[in-house]
Amino acid sequence: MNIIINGKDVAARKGETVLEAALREGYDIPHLCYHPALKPEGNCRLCLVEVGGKVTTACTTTVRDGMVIELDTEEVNKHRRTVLEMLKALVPKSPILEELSAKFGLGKVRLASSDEVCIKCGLCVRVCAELVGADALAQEGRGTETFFNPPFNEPSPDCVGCTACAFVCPVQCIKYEKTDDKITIWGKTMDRLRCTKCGASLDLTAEHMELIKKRGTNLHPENLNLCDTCSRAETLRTMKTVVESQLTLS
Amino acid sequence: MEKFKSPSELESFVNGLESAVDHNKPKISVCRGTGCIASGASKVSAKFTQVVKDKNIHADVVETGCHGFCERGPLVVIHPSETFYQKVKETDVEEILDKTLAGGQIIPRLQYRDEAKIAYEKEKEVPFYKDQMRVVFGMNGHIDPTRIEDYMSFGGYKAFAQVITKGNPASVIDTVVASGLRGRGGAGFPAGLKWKSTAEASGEPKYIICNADEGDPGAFMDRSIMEGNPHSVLEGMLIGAYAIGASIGYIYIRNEYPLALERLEIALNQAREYGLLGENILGSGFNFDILISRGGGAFVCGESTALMESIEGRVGRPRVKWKRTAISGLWGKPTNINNVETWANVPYIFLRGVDWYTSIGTGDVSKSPWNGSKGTKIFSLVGKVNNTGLVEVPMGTTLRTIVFDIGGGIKDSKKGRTFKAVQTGGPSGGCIPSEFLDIGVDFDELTRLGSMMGSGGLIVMDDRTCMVEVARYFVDFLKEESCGKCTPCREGLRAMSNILNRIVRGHGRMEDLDLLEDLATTMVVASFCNLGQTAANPVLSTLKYFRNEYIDHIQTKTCTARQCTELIKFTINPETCTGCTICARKCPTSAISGETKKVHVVDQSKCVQCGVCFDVCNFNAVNVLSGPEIKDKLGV
Ligand SMILES: Cc1cc2nc3c(=O)[nH]c(=O)nc-3n(C[C@H](O)[C@H](O)[C@H](O)COP(=O)(O)O)c2cc1C
Ligand code: SF4
Ligand code: SF4
Ligand code: FES
Repeated sequence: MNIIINGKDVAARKGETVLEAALREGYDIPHLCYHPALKPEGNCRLCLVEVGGKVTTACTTTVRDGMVIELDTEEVNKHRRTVLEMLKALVPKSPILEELSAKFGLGKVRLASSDEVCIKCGLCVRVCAELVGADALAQEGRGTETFFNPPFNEPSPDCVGCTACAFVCPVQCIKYEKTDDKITIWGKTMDRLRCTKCGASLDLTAEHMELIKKRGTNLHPENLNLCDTCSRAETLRTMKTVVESQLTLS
Repeated sequence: MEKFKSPSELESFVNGLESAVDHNKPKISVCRGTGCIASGASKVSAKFTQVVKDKNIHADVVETGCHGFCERGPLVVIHPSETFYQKVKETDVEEILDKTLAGGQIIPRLQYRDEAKIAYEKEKEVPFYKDQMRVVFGMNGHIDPTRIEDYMSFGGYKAFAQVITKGNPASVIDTVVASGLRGRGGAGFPAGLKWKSTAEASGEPKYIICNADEGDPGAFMDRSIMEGNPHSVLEGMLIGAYAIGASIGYIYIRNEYPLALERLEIALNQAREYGLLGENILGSGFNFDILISRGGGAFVCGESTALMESIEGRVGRPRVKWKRTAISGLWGKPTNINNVETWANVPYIFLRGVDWYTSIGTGDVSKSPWNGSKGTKIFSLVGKVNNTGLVEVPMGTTLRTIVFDIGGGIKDSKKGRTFKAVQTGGPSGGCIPSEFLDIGVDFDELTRLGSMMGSGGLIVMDDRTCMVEVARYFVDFLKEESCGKCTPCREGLRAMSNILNRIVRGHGRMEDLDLLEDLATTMVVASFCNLGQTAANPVLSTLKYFRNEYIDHIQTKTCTARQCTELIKFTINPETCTGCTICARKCPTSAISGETKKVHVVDQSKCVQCGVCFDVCNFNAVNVLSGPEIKDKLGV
């Protein structure tokens, strides 16, 4: 099917969102709470576009054939700037927000600063629940007292130390610490497993390994116990055996 | 109890009960709504029951639901004379039975008197009731909500029996569309059109929900319907479920409503015993039951998708609607959600007919239910009016009628208080100034004026109500109640709250007004759900109609209404002070000194600006200064 972005016909796939189609086709729509691997929630409200003359969020709008989408109308720019201004007042020192402000012409922030670090996009909670499957984080509280952290902001028994939350966080505000044999995140310290071949420390904790096994995986769990180098060598060896055995057979 | 096996069996049973009612038999109806219970109605009704029994008096005592005039409770009405007594005490009971019931005499002490001290005898003559049209509340003063037979003796469940007899769900929907019934929970969406979408959606089972979250502070019409006439809600839901093809209904009720919950549970059990809920209802093959789900009471849980999240066992926060909830709602199944009052309207549409229903209200809905507002609406009338309580009026009734006739005008008008505005629609509604007192209140007029119907809150404000402070109050409420999910609502409210708090303290800047408008328009357009989209209404409407008050606060640090404590000073006018000493006695910080018959003086260092002296002075001798006056008169 086709959609029309800024007056141009653009190919779109059934079931995808306006944001997905636009990004794939090379259009730039600012977005902070969207991640291709996670279900969109429409939290940051930055991905504003005009659909059929109405301002809405691109990440929560499913494409329809012939849909008319405008990315840079005066309305869109105005509201996008105000949303950005609100975010900058919330988190004043963030490189990504600076970059977006420069790009979309936001001048001085007129609002009182809250001096927080998290923009409350919710990606960390979602990646932990939807992809990792640990469900160790939660949106807590209400209104301006909304926080994203493990329940009660205490080290969570469910956290497996995978650092996926820190990885997806658009403002990089989730801090963790890695030593040769330990990883500490959200106040919880866990042991890093070691490569069963060479003994190098892995980016994998025993807790995470447990969870992966419990949830089932396409990978051979034994392979997860290896560091990158050994894993590659091991794969190569297996392939070689397979190829050789094929050759002997023929 | 026998289950009814067919609609005709139910209908003739109801007819039997209806004709058995002896309308001449004396009846004492005692209000036992939450308000009257709080003022002691249980003791009053117990006493009536006991004395009537002991003395073998020929009369029925009925413990009814809310009559609406809660501030005058406990309320008692004697039928058939319709004698209306207010503030009745246990000790008045024998006298009422002797004098009024037996002797036909009025007891002046218990009569309602208006501000001019005129007494009224019959309930329907009392100004509070005179201009009302009680349809949804029609039975509230007559039936015992814990007895299904009482409801039936007024024709209850007959509409449902007739709908089943006809056996045509599609025609039920057509009737609701034609009636013009629009949702009473906030947005005013035509109920029939909503039912139709769910009826036509594919997926099993289908659900219907009754939204009884009632989160607006000060609103209690839904509670009073459930407490006073729970079967009307159940019958509405039965008709709806049949039309839509739903097999399960939920009533989502807030935890703070124990009495409503209790009465609903009794009603559900009675309906099950009569076979009105369950399998093969009235032998028609229609299966339907209703479950109760209790909500934690967050304001946002009233929003339809947040409510569904909550029923499904998650935190009540709005969720993305990839499809309309009519198609994919509760557990991804087609779901129709309506408000308590919406459901309670349904039986009357069928019982009295579409022509009757469309004769009430505004517009012409013959082409589309969007073209008008039909039926009645219940408002919760509070604030600076003489009569407060629940008021049911035809859609289109003017604000003037509601405030000045039913509400009896502005409180303390003798002391010079005048009408300034009425705030409608709950916390995210707007303030409407006096030039619009003659508009007829309906969905579209209120929206046009920058406010909304919401659930029907009406707060009357007088000249001593500061409109900036009003905006600040609602914004601070919403700031706490926003679910925190999306940026414009959460951060917009935070920013607005900062700005408004600064203005009411006299630290505002002129640029703040543009800033408020920028924030507001973005919240309207970019917020995720309706809470954020409407949360700016209090600010936008006061900026539109009362901009001068904002400017006065900013430019001259003057609170026009003399309410913002940091901008006012109290002084006593030596010319008019009679030295009655009342202010000195009432001042909580003993800031006022003076001898009997001598002029009193306020010690500014002790005064906390509570305003008690102003309220108690009978000689208008207390002046409230603000802005430049303070310097002029006090030299500070
Ligand atoms: C923040 C918010 C709170 C709401 N609270 C209520 C409520 O307490 N009761 C209610 O019936 N509808 C409430 N609504 C409206 C519902 O979302 C929904 O529109 C309504 O229940 C539909 O029923 P109706 O069409 O019969 O009005 C609320 C909406 C929002 C956005
Ligand atoms: S911590 Fe990061 S990922 Fe989590 S909500 Fe805050 S900004 Fe988003
Ligand atoms: S507008 Fe946004 S923050 Fe406000 S209640 Fe709705 S989803 Fe939550
Ligand atoms: S990316 Fe769409 S709302 Fe955040």
